[in-house]
Amino acid sequence: MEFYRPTSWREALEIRAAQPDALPITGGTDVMVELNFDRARPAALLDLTGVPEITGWSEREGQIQIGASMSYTAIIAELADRLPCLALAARTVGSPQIRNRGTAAGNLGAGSPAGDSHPPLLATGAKVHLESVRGSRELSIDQFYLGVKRTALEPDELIRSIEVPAARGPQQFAKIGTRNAMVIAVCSFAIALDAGSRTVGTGLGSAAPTPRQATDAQDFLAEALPWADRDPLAEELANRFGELVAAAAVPIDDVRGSARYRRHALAVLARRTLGWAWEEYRCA
Amino acid sequence: MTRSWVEPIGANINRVEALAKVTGRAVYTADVPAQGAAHAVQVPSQISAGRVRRIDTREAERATGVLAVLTHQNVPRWRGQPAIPYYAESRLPLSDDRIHFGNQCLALVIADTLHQAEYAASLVLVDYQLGQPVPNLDAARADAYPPTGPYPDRFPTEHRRGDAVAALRSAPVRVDREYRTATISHAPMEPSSTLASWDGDQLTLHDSSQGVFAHREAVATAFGLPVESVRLISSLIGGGFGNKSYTWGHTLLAALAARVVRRPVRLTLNRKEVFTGTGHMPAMIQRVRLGARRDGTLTAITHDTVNATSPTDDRNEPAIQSTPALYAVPNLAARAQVAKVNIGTSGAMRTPGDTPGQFAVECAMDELAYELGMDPLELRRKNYAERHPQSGKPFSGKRLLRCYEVGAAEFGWSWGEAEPGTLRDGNDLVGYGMASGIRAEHSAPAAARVEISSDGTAEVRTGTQEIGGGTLTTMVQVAASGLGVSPDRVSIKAGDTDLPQGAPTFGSMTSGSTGSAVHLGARRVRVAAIRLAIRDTQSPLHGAEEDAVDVRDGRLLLRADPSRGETYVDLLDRHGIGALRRVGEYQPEEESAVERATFGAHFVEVRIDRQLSRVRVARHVGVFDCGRVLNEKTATNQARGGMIFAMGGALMEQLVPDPVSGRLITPALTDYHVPVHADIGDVRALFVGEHEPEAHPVGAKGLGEICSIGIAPAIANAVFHATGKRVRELPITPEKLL
Repeated sequence: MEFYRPTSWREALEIRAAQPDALPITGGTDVMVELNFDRARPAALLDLTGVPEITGWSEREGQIQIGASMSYTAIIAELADRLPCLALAARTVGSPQIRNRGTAAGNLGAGSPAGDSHPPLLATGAKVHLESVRGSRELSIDQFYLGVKRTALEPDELIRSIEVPAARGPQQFAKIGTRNAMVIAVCSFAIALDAGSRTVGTGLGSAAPTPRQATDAQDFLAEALPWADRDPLAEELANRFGELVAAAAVPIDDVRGSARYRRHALAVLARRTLGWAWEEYRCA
Repeated sequence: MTRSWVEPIGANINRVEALAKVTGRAVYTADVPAQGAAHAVQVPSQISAGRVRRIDTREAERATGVLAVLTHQNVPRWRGQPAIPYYAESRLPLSDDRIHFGNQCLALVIADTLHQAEYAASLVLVDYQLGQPVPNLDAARADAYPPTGPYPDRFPTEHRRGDAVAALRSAPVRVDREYRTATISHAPMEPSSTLASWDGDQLTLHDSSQGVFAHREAVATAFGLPVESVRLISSLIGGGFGNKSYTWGHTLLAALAARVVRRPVRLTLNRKEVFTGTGHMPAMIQRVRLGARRDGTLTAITHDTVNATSPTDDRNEPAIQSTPALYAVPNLAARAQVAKVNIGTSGAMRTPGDTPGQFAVECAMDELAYELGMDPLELRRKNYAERHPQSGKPFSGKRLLRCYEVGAAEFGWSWGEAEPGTLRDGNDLVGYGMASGIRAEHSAPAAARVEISSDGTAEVRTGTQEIGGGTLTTMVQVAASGLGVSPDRVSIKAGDTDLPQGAPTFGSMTSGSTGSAVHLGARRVRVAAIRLAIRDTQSPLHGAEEDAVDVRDGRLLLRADPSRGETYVDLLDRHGIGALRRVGEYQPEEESAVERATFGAHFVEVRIDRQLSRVRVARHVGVFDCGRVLNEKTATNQARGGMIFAMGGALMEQLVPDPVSGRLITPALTDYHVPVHADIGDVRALFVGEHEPEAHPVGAKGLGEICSIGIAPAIANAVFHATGKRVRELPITPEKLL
């Protein structure tokens, strides 16, 4: 197996173009698991950790650009105020060692429906910046996922950054695992309230072949929430929201949980995270 | 300056190897340096049943660095069949073309480096003839049968007293239930590793072994060598739990490879091989029937079990072994069957038989208690057996009632205040449950050499193994106590067949058996020194009675007049003795007038998210009678570890076979979940044991296994109390409570 370690973004794109079967790797927390289990035997690895242009983050007009090699640990330490939902999800990833290595962009590249980054990115309406020697393009997050471990990334493209709007209202994330830490999600859910536009974003993890939004649930809630009066959350409203979230799921039975449990649990997570977010909104 | 003398046994001293472990200097088997060692990698079967029609190793043999590729076609013949169980299977590796389970070793690649061997292993081409696999116990159950062979010879498949069927028929209250447990794994942190080197016909093996002497014999037999020709060394073990109690194919293959390539060979298992090829606790289905009078007096127990066993061997998981000992019930019938599944051979896993067996019986007892409207603790007291109910012999010690009393007080046990499914705290359902546990106390012959040197230091030599329980530390304490020196003056050499034969470190035999050998050896040294002194006209102790002399902190002194005495150092120095050494030998009695056992009682509080049905063990009090506690610190650590270990089996652990192929689909730590810190609540371990010389001379009994018995039923019983729903199948995952 060949191993490439470019030291500039341009060089990385050129290698990617020349050898599209080179598998990009940053933290390795997804890629190395695949290699270790012999599920993947790529011809080459393209190590992006030596590329300076994709480290760290920047902010412009309320949009945060997260470099492709920014670790979960850094997201938690530096962006918890601007991107609370993503930071909450990042805290549930693996162990400290995994969080030191793993990246949100790596989660996108792997495209597993169980990735912890997806629900917050979906709920906040993130965009993915893709580049190749041919040029660059921008995809809204919901267009990025195509199937189980399949994404819109072209063979010569790399993820340069993820653009996430700074929070414009309360955000929450919740995840269920078979144990309390170091666990792949049985299912997960994110919610983001936009107090300005009075809209709601959602993201479901481990609930369908791809991470997805519950658009009916979002629309229902945006319409039904008492944004102006800030009334306490009505139980029927929360229940209906939970039902709509569960209805958006197409889960499977696997070793981590049954489809039935996943659908049930998603409704519970939806109600709970909404309750927490709404309380925060009311008290703000 | 004099320091006050503290009796070393029971002292809460730190582990003797603690610093080496936390600083990374500790040497585990895979760390043992070996110049010029080649590396061996196993080629795994992709199917779980069938034959190797053809195996093409040509490309692998041509790969860089490859020294040899062994298959069933070219492997040198084994010279003997080692006795079960210390070699776990009746089929030796690469014996024939048959495939019995997924990931079974089909070939061994030996190369200069590990990566070369791994790469070449991927080049071996296997043409399979697919068989029809039996994927799991459900598929096999209809063909269950009474096992035969060496395992059932060792673990009886039937126990009987009175007429259980008749007693059940006439019992006013009956419980008749089926319980299921999943295939679970030891999941030790350390994958087993072997380093083999030959010098002529002399074989030296570094091996992750819980029993160097038993395993040496197995290896010697397979190679047709006298046992003296094999030296087996086990350095620190990173978790055993029975995973390293038996030898498995890789150990023999490493030795074989070293002989073939005429170089030392190292073989370290990968994680998947740990799950698939070094034993597990098999899936079980158990039926328990209880008959009782309305006052709770048990009149009958029946206990019928069936467990999955490998195609090669009938290994009955001895789940019925303790049922006759549990309660004073006059009528009992217990029977074990097995059913063939395409899975590797199961092995001893903490706690063999008793963890699943007592899960079934202790859950049934709880069901009976609710049926009777009786406190489950009271039901157990009511049926308490003062003597062993099967043999009628007294126990060397039994403080189970004290376990109940101390545990109930510490936990705050009270029954009858809340109906099942009614106790709430915020969003949590809350429930309380209890269960008790028993484990027969086993013994093995053991020897230890103890010496005191003229510089005042002492040394213990015994072929025991440190598997993480604190063995090195407690053996040092026993020697220090016997000699009358401070533990920090005592060192220990262990884990080597060149040392006096210790007991294996499984079956909870270290404290009682090896501990007694160390105890006897140290006492012999002490007595020899005292005799030397009292006969020596130059000694301040000259003329004293032997019994009048004590030894404290390295100084022999008159009990009645502690100012009169001298140190070991002065005594040995004056006599020109470099070191005074004696061997202590412990030989268990063939026929005993007493029964030996350890006991435990568990009280558990679970909290269950009302909507998500996730079970957390918020509080757990375990109380144990394991005789005299050698070191409260290591004992507490071991017991809490055992309780958490069993909690994992109760709530989350399972090796899942694919329902068609039978191949395990979770042979990795990413999916085989053991508890992490965030899963651990307030777990307390308490001890009520006392010095019990009738059990063993050292007065201690085993702890490593009793601490994992009774936890699963206590949790399951608490889950019932919290939810009103009886889950009779482990692990208790959220689905089962929806």
